[in-house]
Amino acid sequence: MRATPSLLFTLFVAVVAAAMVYTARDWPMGTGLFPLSVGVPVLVMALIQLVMDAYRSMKPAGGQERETGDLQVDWTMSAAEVAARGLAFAGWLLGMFFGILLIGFFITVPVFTLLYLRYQAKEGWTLTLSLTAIMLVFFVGVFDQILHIHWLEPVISGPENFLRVLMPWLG
Amino acid sequence: MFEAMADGLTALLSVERFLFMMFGVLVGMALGAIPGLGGVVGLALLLPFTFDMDPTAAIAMLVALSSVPVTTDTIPSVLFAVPGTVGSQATILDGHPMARKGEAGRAFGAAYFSSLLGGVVGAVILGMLIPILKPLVLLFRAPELFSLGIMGISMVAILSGRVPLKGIVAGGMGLLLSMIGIDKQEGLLRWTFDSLYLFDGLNIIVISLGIFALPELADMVIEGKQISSVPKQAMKGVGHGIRDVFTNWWLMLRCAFLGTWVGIIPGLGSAVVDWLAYGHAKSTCKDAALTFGTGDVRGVIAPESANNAKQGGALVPTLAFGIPGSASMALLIGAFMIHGLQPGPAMLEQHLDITFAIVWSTAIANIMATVIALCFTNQLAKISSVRINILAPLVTVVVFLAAYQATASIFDLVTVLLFGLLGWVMKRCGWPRPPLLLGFLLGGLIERYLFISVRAYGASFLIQPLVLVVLAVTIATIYYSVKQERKVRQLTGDTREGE
Repeated sequence: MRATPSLLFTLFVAVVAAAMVYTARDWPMGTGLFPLSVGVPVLVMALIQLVMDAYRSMKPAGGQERETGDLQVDWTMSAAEVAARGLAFAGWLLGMFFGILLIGFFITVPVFTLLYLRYQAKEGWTLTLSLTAIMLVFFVGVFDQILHIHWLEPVISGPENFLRVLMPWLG
Repeated sequence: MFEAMADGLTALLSVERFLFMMFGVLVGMALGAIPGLGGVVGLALLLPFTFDMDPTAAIAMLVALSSVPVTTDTIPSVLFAVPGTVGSQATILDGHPMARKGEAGRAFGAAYFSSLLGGVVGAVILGMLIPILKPLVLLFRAPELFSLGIMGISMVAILSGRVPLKGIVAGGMGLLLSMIGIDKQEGLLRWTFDSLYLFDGLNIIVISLGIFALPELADMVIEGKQISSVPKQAMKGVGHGIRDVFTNWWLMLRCAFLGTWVGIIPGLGSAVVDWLAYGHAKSTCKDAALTFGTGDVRGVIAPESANNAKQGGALVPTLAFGIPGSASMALLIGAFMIHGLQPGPAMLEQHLDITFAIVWSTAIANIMATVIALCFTNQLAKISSVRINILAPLVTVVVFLAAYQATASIFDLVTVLLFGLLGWVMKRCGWPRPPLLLGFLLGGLIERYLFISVRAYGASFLIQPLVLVVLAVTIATIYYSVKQERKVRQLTGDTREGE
């Protein structure tokens, strides 16, 4: 039996369902009835799926068909290439997330757009700067000026804190 | 009554009122095209500005604004698989594959035109139902609403395609996820891990952005191509899509009726209507099991006609009883009251002309939105040939902003990233994602009405006549779709056991 991604994911689903059922067992009737009446059958079916996936993973690698859940997937790329490009994109997403957390939306949105277009998409400066400006106007105009979204207070707010993080020896 | 209808139309035909209605249409269209926003945001923004306005102009503008976001929410759904509003999630399943096949223009044409006809059908039904509303809506109490919830969740069987067991598990996980937060019956916390963010449960906008938008964006970036690699000259245009609606007029009409009915029933929710219509189309259209999910235009026509028709339907309980079926209808009731109109039976008697002005506004707004949208369709479709690396940062920023504005918490971003990862793994491992969303959408509703039904009727709630009818229809639908699926498997020579 090989630990295929599909098998591991089914195992993950079964473990989550089991944990949800386990924690719901001590709840009062009104609170726990619905979670248990849904969770127990889900757990049983997840385990059946797990057995089926395990059985299929024992077949020779070439004999397996790839299932499609909803939208089509391009299977022509190698798994290594998909993983490398997927991780790179995940890195950008995480960079954006931590940027928002640390320095806030107002700096992260234009910086992320600019860096992605310039260094990931390898676009020229004209297009990069134009699209960054459009994005900034859209973001500030719609989300800040019209919708008045309450923005998160970034960890590093104000230029003095920003400098302190860049140069911690300043104290 | 015909006099009131004519008065309602005449009232809208002054230049000033017409311009305000046009303004409402434009704002609604813009909000529909920006993921995460929608009619509620627009109504909340414009409501304070209507205090000193002429009541008919104000109400026409607000009704127009709330009617049209479901027309333009198709744009991000088709181009980027990012749902514009919660009512356009099902459109992704065939709209986005159409864009990838170079048929974005055709998808837009079909979506807009079926939205137009669906919206008009909804308005016509609203107008026709006004005299006979009360007994019809009162037929649906908690047991009947519970059975409708069960009918909705049965769509999981249809949406799961060739992986029914995975679909049922995904639907069940969606139901379990919907229970996170404060239990409405006992007031206890379920799976909140002492996090304030989880007390109110997970947000549907954040979940749908994570489950669909990020995985599709990631896959497009990984492939490194434009959305569609079909040359511009070979792309199918808007005219093709409009013809598709005429070819499938009966499907469009059925889904418009379905959408109106879902809108009429308070509490069923706008996010469910497109899935119900999609499931209905998939279980009834010829060879749908074979072609749906691969870019079948019928998979666009069905949800789009239903979600626009729903707007007309949702006005029925709002106007007739003053019962808002959704947040946007609650804001509309607020607007009516600001202008001295009390929704309910009295409004139908004393202000029938304004009631019909609302019906006309719904119909006219849908026509205006479609005409405007059609003018820009071919230009929009060209976006599908822009390299994804140029679009990726822009779409990513919009997804983050749309997720953040849901509750303005950093945990919205954590949730969208986690569900993005979950959605991507589900897609790669062949797990269908729509059942998860459907389970999540219907979980709260099913539990609430089950609880009320059991308290009020005991176990006998299951043998109420209308409940039995709805459950019989549900069983028949599941049986028919399973039969269809088997037929397809035989045709394609797929004989895998259990899958």
